[in-house]
Amino acid sequence: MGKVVEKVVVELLAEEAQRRGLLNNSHYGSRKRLSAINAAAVMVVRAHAAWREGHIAPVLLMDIMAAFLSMGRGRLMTIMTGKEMDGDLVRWTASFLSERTAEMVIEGNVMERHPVEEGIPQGSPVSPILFAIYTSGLRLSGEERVAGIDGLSFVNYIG
Amino acid sequence: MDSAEGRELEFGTAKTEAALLTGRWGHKKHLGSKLTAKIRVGNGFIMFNKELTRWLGVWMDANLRFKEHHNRCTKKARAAEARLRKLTGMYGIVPAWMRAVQVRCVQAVTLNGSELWWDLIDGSRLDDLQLLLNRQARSTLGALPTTPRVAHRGNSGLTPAAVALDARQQRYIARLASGWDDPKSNRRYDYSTPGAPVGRVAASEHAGGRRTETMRWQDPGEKPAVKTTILEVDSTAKRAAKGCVRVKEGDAGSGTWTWWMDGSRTHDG
Repeated sequence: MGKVVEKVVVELLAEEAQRRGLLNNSHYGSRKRLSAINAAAVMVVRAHAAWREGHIAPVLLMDIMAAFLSMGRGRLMTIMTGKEMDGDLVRWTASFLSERTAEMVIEGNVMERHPVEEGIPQGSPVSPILFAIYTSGLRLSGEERVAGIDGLSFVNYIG
Repeated sequence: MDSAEGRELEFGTAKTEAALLTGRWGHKKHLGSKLTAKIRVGNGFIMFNKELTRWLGVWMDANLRFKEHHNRCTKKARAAEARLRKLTGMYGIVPAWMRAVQVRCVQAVTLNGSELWWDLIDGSRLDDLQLLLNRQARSTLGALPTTPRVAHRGNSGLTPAAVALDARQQRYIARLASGWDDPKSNRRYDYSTPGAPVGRVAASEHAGGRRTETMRWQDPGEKPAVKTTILEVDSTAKRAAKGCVRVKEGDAGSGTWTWWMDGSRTHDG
């Protein structure tokens, strides 16, 4: 049941983030009609556009390490409230990320529960869209610093 | 990104890659000299890949022909087909089930990323896929290798390679196009950009409950070859004939083509 709710929230978050200017055409993964193939196709289009103008297209592919584990809840809330995202969605996200605990079971031995303060859950459908919102400024800051570059980002919850 | 709450986000240098997309004719001109160039990332330097670059499951070469991607997918699919054949034996399982397994386990691998390289006019690389499909058809029906192809091609219920490739690309474009008039989101792509799969929809108009799109298969400036009509989701036709909905119709040369949801087309010219 929890996963069903999460799937619904993913869609609402994606729409709201796009409306508030946090996500745009360059954010792929975890959004409708913006799959891996679309991202690759857009790269193809941009390379073709560069070729037509007589340029070549250098591509730099970067991967954020331990992405979901490194996310800060407080900063995410600041980003969401700063862009005046819908209050219900902000509160739902805050609740989703609060009072989380981790418990390890090794060969039947249950270990003590530990609170989890940082990061977002691996394997949850909501995590990619929250991460996309979290890193929404990253692409823009790169494009502002280096003239003539285009940024594409892709996020999934497998890796 | 400096983070007061949560840790700093860090790019993994081990997974960082650089590629140079030079185009078909730029390859000789640029690649030789640029290959010694490096990109500075953080404290280290990244060299440009001399061979292929893999991104999001797609193998990219310098001129974006995706030949190696196609070769790898076909090889993987062939291996999957061989394993299936081994599992099911000479006479296979019930053909309908075998067909379902073939479509999901073999065809899905073969067609992965084909939206990016399949060209209706060019038609190259079709033979590889059709040969594999012939093997799949034989596996589906438990036919001997000497059985005439005509007999098992039709009876296996597997879609011919050209139609499957067309269908995949058409569905992909239709899926992209379906987001066009969405009032909640902005327009997503610059469709006026020619020369790549996503650039093939040239114009869109809305009238009488139908969205009409003009598809461009030739270079910019030439007359549109295929006019496409996508019926709305709640259209009568769609409700009446699930699985075989007429989604596109248009002019192509002398006659009219009708495109079907399963990728087949009829030509009455």
